[in-house]
Amino acid sequence: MKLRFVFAAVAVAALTFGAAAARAHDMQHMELDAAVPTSASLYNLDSQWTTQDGASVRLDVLAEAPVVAAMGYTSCKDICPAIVADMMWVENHLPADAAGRVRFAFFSIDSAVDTPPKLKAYADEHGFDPDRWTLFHGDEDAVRELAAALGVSYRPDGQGGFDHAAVISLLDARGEIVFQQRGTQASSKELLAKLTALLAQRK
Amino acid sequence: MRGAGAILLGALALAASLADCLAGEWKPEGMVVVPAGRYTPFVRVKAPNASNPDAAAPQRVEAFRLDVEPATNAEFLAFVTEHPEWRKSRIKTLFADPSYLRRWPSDLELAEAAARDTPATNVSWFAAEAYCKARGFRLPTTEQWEYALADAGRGQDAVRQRSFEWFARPNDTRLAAVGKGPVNGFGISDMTGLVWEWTLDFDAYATTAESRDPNGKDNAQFCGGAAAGVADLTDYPAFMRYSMRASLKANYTADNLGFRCAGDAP
Repeated sequence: MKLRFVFAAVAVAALTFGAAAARAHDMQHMELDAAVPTSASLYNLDSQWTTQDGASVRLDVLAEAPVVAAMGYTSCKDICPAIVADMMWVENHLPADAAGRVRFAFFSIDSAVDTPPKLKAYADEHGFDPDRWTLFHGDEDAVRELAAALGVSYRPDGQGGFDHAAVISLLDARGEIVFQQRGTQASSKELLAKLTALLAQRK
Repeated sequence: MRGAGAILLGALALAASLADCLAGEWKPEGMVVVPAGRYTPFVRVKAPNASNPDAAAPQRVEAFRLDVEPATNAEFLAFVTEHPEWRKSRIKTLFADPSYLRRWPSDLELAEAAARDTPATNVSWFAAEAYCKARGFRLPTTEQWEYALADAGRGQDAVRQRSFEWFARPNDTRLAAVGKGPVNGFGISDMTGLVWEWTLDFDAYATTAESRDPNGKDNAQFCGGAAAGVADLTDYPAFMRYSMRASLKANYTADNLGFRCAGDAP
């Protein structure tokens, strides 16, 4: 018997209290105001990050444009290349006039190894356009908090790397999660469609 | 003379509290030091193989401090009084779902269903972590929590028995006060039988059916694959704990989900 099926079945039993918790959020958006994030905005997190260029920033450096965001680490040989490939696929399939209006954000889980210079080298290696792509280094607390907000489960694998969920999140200009792709795909069509729709709203 | 004595005592108390402030650390009241030791985790992260033959061996846990009891409503009230952004009227939806502190009639008011000495529940991971940080601590890791639960494995039978009794009881509409349950070998109480508890890395062992991809490739969603197995297939309460934690999201709150804080050993 596969372990995860047992887990899934037991979880149903364990969560007799879960119905209320799982209830969909009653989102009440405030008016867009760059200074005050909306209640569900990721930009309520006040953690400090360093970009691949060494700039010290908060998450709201990404505000005011739709963002395609993911977490991973540069020495990951397993799923991270696939996550990044999915993000690049989306970038390459955007309408020509739209590509410049989207931000791509990669947050490293590996606080110890992925220093800003390492992130810079990774960005160069992949040919990321620095006007669109930002790679972020944060301390363990910042990483843990962001991972919690994005629903990215991870743990050290005991061999210097991490096991982590593959999640690509689409944020709107206010920093609210509007869609998440869980798992990697040959072509992230749904993510692209959601992003294109977001951009159309903003025209 | 009595007046002078009172002033002297007051001055001493002030000096003591000043010394505490200068030490830069809150007093770890209500905590015990859990000594370092070895234990066998219920969930194995990796299967033993040629390159990692020790995957199933007992793991070392370093010493740490842990609250003897879960945080209470009275303690959480003191926290939100001091940190208004965590009051129920101000909480951001990013940080907690709509049932956050739902048994409290208002921002700074407790009730019969959420009495002072009962566990603080309907608290999200973000709020629990903020509370612990305000005390200078953090939530325990899953590993620390599990190690403390069963007294490094010595109390395994007691934990199972108490868990089964708890599961058999219908959900209480009103929780019991903390500190009424038996104390384990580490001097810690209420880890099972009262409320479920948040851990710092609550979803680290999450590999649910939801995370499978349609093609059935195990690795498509979880880098490194799923947990490699469990230490004891008959340990139903352990399945419950890991499954419950894996099903949570950081903004979830529930009537019987509480927390306690941990810190580094002195």
